[in-house]
Amino acid sequence: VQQRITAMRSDWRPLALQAVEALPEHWPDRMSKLRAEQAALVDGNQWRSGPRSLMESMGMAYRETRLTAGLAWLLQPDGHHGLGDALLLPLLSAVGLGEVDASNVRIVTEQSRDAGATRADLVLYGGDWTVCVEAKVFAAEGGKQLDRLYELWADDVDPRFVFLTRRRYDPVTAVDSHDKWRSLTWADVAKWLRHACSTTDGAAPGVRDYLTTLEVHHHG
Amino acid sequence: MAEPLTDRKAAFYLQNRDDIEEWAGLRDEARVVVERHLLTRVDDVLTFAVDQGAEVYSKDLDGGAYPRADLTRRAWRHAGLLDLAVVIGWQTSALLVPWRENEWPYVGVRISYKQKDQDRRTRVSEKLSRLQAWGYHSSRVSNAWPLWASVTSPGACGVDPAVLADNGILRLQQLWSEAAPILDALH
Repeated sequence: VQQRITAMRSDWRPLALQAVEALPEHWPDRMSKLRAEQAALVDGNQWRSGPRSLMESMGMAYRETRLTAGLAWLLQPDGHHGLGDALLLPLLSAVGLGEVDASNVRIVTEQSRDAGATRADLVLYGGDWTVCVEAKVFAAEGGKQLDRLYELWADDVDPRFVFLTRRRYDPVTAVDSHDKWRSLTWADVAKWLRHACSTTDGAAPGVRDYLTTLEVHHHG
Repeated sequence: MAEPLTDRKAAFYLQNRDDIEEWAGLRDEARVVVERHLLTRVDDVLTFAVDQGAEVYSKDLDGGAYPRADLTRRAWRHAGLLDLAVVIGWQTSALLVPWRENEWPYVGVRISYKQKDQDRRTRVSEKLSRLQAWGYHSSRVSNAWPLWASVTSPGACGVDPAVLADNGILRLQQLWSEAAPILDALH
């Protein structure tokens, strides 16, 4: 038995030496560089993990209805977000309603008309003006969708129509109503919101989270 | 007596295991960034579809296991089923995982699982087979893909997620320009 063990040792020695030679020379140096790079990121407070916002962590960053609900919350001028009308006013200005009374607004999400066959994502009723918003994240337009929305809200008081998307483009289903829609992007909302945050004290934490979500995921 | 650590690679791993495993875990962080870049380019799919007169359908883009965007035409029907699409997609959990089939995003021609007519499947596959010269092949793991190719990152200096996403859109547009006329001719 001892002889066999000695023979095996003899056989294994060259293999072990091969293993000794198998470590690529650059590995220890690479490891040192990686450690230094990581340490620099930690020192700079940039070694961060996980989702960039609470909305993202809850799987809402790309959810059209959730983003729209958040927008509705932020547009309410007396809302708990603390921004006042700082987001509402630039939106109204963008649709040509810069001089209107924006103090008393009723905001409705997912409002259906035509016996439920057509639904507007967001509608703002201001007494003597109306803004109808069709919001998109990834979904394409449904058949004749924007023409139907226009037709159903055209008789409201001074109606304006907003097509809100990730990237600015003209809606393809606004055929008869093509000159009635104003194309805006989520990046436009983010820009107005960032400005609102910088000029308003006491914005609720959720405002920052929503802003981060837009800037990280919907920058256009 | 304990065996001396003569396997230098194993020793290297064991000595540096904490760092190596922490860094390997960064794959999940990077996967999220890659996916975000891919999602950003979905807007290009919408624009391209409008240019091409195609329909776009998306699935799982807001958080599913197999996000994808389908380019199709209303005429691509068989037996009452809109069953064909030129697709860009990815498997979220497999992105950047070297040992997974779907380590990278992919483009391909997809035929619906609901299409039970085997003759239809065979005809579509035969007609598209000449595109295999362009680096496509039928999927090894699913019969839903008569034509399939992964989209890789060409860089020798790691993965640039923006370039990867650009490549994905480019490959989708190339595949559409090659495959759509063939699929049009079938209908």
